[in-house]
Amino acid sequence: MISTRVAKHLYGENLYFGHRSLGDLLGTESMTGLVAMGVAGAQPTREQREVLDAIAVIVNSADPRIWPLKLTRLVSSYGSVMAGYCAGQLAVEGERIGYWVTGYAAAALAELRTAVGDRIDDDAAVDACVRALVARRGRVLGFGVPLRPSDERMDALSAYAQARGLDRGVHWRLMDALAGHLEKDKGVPRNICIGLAAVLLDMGYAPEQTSRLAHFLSQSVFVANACEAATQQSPEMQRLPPEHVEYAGAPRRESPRALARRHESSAPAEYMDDGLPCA
Amino acid sequence: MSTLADAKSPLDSVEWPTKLVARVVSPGARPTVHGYDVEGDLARDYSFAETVLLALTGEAPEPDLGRAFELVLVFAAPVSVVEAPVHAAVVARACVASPSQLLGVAALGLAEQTRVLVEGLRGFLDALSGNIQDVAPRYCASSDEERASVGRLRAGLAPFLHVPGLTFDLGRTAAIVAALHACGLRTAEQIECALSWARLPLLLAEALAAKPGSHMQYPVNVPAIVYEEQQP
Repeated sequence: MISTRVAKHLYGENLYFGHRSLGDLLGTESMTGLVAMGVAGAQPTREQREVLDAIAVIVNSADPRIWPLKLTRLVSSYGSVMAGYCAGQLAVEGERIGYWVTGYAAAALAELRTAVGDRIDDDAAVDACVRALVARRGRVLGFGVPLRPSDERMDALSAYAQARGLDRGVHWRLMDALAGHLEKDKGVPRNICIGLAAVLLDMGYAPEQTSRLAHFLSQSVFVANACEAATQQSPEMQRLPPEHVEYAGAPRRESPRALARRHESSAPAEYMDDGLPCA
Repeated sequence: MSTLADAKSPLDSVEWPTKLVARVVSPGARPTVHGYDVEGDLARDYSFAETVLLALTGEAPEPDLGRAFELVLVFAAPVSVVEAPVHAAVVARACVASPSQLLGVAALGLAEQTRVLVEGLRGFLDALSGNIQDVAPRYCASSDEERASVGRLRAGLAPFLHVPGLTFDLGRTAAIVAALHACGLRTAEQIECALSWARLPLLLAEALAAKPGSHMQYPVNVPAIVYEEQQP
């Protein structure tokens, strides 16, 4: 038997994590709140929901040329919104690209939090823990910004965090300490994932939940590209023009069996346009 | 008047390649696989399984190797409705999924199942790539039934291919992976692909045999899922 805390369908009502959807949540809860409940099982407070909504806007980076979004469009180019949407989701569940990286960044911050313990106000102790963490991990995910000097989403999150007082959170302060070291000593700027990790950890989410939340809060980028591509059904997406493809594989050759057959029958080789024989 | 649409993007700051590179299948009217002409060569002299092995390894297999690979794929093919990928595809069929949706569900479930399966055999795969001396108990047969199955695989392969791993008392899955490894698939990702591909046809056949739209005949409480009351 499998237990679930998610939901139960009743006559006249749908339970959702202990709440009555129609009786309690309708009119008070938002899409963002329902998603957060889906990830963590607990209903966010109004303040938390506002932060999550702000995050959803900050991570709304939907340029179709961004790799997971490009593949979303490729698969949706035959007209199915859901096919491209699902394909895009699959491509980002990992530590390389997309907001799923947040969880890996969060794990580093959580490790730092454990190491620092109650010495958060002791700058020397924090600095020593930061250096030990960097030495231990080598690369800390959530740092590094391609193609531009800083991550505009991180800049926006920093401004938002400052305005809301989120920058007083323990994990945010640890991120600042870590960034101080990596940016100053190694020239690697922070990206949005470490910022999301800090905010979400300070809100009480576990590291693995931060990946899921950050990802699900960014769904607009997949939805928009899947919908547009499915509507367009672009022939260029479905099939690239030949001038945009090059072949770099093995040169045309004859297989051992074709060669043997040809020798047995003494048949002349059939020559291809490029002059090499085929069977 | 310039607009935001004209503004530069960081993505415009890079000189990107202008061509997508094909490495296995040559595009065009007369395709090749790793250089071998599909229509005039492979289709005449190679089985479909051999073409797959060629595609994954880059080399046209000898006849015995091709036959061995085909035999292993047939051993790997059965995946029944007790397993999540088939179960999911049958549910999709009950929901009147189109063939493309069915294929998507099936392929995804299968890829996940295979990923976990191969992940669990990672240590064994590493051992196969070295000089295998011993096999951890978790990779060994757990019943006489399983031992008999591996015996049939061993006997089937014997005329075509020596599989070093099959000298041990392997479980069925480990034995299939050992045989795929002996066929030239050395990496976990090659083996994942071969296993998923081998299983997909029978999975789809099972799903297609279910009646579309039969959701009221689907045993919704198998397995049972029970709601756990919690305070909001």
